[in-house]
Amino acid sequence: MEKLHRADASSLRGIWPLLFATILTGLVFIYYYFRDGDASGSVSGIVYGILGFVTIVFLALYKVRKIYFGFIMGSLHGWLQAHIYISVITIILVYMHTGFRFNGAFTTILLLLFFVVFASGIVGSLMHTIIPLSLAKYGKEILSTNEILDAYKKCLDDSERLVETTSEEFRETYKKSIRPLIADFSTKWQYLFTEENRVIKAAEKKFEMLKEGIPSNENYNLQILGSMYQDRERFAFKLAKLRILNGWLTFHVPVTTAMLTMLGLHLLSIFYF
Amino acid sequence: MPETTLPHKELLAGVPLFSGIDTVELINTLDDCKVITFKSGEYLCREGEYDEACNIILDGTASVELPQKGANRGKKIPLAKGEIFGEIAALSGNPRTADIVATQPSTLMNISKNTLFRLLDRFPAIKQKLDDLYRHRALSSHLHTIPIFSGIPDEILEELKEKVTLHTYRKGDVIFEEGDMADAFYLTRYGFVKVHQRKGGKEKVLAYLKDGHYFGEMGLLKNGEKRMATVSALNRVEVIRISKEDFGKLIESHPDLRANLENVVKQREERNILLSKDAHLANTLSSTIEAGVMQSKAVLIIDTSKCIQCDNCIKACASLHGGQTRLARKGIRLSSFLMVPASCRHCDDPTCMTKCPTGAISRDFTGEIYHKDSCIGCGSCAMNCPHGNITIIDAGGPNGRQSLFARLLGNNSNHKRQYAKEKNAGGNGPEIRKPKRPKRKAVKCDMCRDYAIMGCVHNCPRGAARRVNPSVFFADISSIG
Repeated sequence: MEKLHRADASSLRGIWPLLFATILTGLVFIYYYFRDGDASGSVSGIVYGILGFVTIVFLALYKVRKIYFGFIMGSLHGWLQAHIYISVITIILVYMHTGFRFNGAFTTILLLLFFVVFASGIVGSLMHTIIPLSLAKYGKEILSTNEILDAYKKCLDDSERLVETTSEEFRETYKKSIRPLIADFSTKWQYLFTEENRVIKAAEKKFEMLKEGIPSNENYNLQILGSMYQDRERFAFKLAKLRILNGWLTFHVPVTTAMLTMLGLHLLSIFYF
Repeated sequence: MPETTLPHKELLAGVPLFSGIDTVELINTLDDCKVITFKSGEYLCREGEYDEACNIILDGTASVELPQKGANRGKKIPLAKGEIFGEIAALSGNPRTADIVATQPSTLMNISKNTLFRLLDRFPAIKQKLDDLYRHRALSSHLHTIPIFSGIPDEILEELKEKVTLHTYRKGDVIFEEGDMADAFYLTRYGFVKVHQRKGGKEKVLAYLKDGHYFGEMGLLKNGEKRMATVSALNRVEVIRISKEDFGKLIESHPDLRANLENVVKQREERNILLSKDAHLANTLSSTIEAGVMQSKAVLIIDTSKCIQCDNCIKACASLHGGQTRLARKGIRLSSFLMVPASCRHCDDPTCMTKCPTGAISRDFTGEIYHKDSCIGCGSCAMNCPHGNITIIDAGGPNGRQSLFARLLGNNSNHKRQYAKEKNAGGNGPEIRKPKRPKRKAVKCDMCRDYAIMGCVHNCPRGAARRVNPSVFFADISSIG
């Protein structure tokens, strides 16, 4: 019965070890920053470098695993968990490799990029845990971005059809105050930081205020448009969250690619010199 | 186990089931039967496996090893030359009820389900004999293996067997109604039943019961009481009915049985109180039963609180099945977080299998339903699937979907369009062969039987997709057996 009632709690359980590991990494970094570690050219520095490189290769292989669906060694879920936790070890190894000294612009940029990738990974992990939970909490359906955009269009078409048979006065109010609300296809980023029931309540309020300018015999039409708008706002709530989920990858992957390219150059320069 | 075809005339003559039947006509009916030989000690079938063929021992002997439960746990029943076995599974579609092992080198005649039904249609005498045998064995195996009767001696159960009746109900049939006088105790031999009450015009599901469970004891134990709930069949159900009088005698002579049943009544009453208090649990139970989830072997569920809608499950399914996905991420919500997407559930009583003209849709010994290559794409299975989880697709071929290679070579790509153009223009153009109908086939989730993994589950990055046995996964909300 637990699993039927408390799916939310189990989803969030994975966050705590990750936060703990992140804080621990920060503390290790602060400790060594004020106490010089071994230089990257020393034996221990090279060993840390090799280990760090191996773990980075493993982390990058997640992308390959993701698109190789027939791979039998480990589920994608297991790989993602490994991707997250090994990245924490990697950042420690990389800082140990540098000896907490950032010599030269190239290695400093590489290190900064690595940190950005790591931080974006942490943010992504949190987002991928919290956002699905909030989407599932209220929504009755699982919809993709395209399906939501189709629903937007359908909502607008339906409302246009509805007002065709209404009075001139109603049409005027529709054109001036309601249509701009329904025809707004932009992503409402402000919905990222709110709850779905608040969004619905705000939509209700907007239509409540419009009641005054509408003939009483057409209140029913306004009610229908109001419920259409509520549905639309529910979709807008989902869309903002889906877009941020999808958008996160468009940041994490290119930054990782840039970091890996610089890492490649770093390796070449080591072998060259 | 080497196989040959067509049994010898002399061998068939020694089978009591076929006595008095014209052998030539019999051989014509059984022309596609296989003859299989087994070494001593080899298993002829295993309990719980699905196999819809029945077998006749043409030579040798075997032994039925009853399951390790009930009054006759582990008991061995010898099977002699000429005896039939597997008819319960063939006639009812149920899994095998016991292990059978060859005690000597044996030769079996393996009769497929289709051939068996043809045989029964053609020879009413065989049908009568087999029906009697089915009733005898079904009752015997159930009464002797059901745990609630484990303390009752064999001779009492044999006596009871002669008095009880075996009933079959179709989906939706009412076995008894709330308010009826309690006149019998029921044992579910096969299938699923729903126990429900009407309150304020609304139906409230109290429990679902499956094979091995029993019902009707509440009304009987509370002497003279009326039925407290309605019990109806959720799919094809077979029940054993024990009359009020026989049940009364049984519990009078066996106080342990009475005490056990009273305990169950108490638990069921407590459960009803829990359901009346916990609306979420009651709704989940209702939606799970209404969606027909319980009557299946392997259901794909998605935990929507973890799903990030990346579509990896769908992409994996399509990638492992030649570009055609067998899963849609839309379906029924069971609770606020659980969704059953549109994907084959491998039903216990698969209606999709009932009308396949070529026998292309089949069930393997684990209960998994799959399409064989002999599928002609007629769509009969898709029409009979109550959940809409079978799709008919273009399988490629002459004018079907072409491969990239064929398209690059310009191979026959405009054939159909050209044909229509010529026909509309009066037919004076070049002579073009009439295009063949594209080859079609039915596709459904086969749980990636050609792979070591299940694509959708294995490729979900958040572990949101899971394939579960509903009887186990929803054990919390299922009935007290």
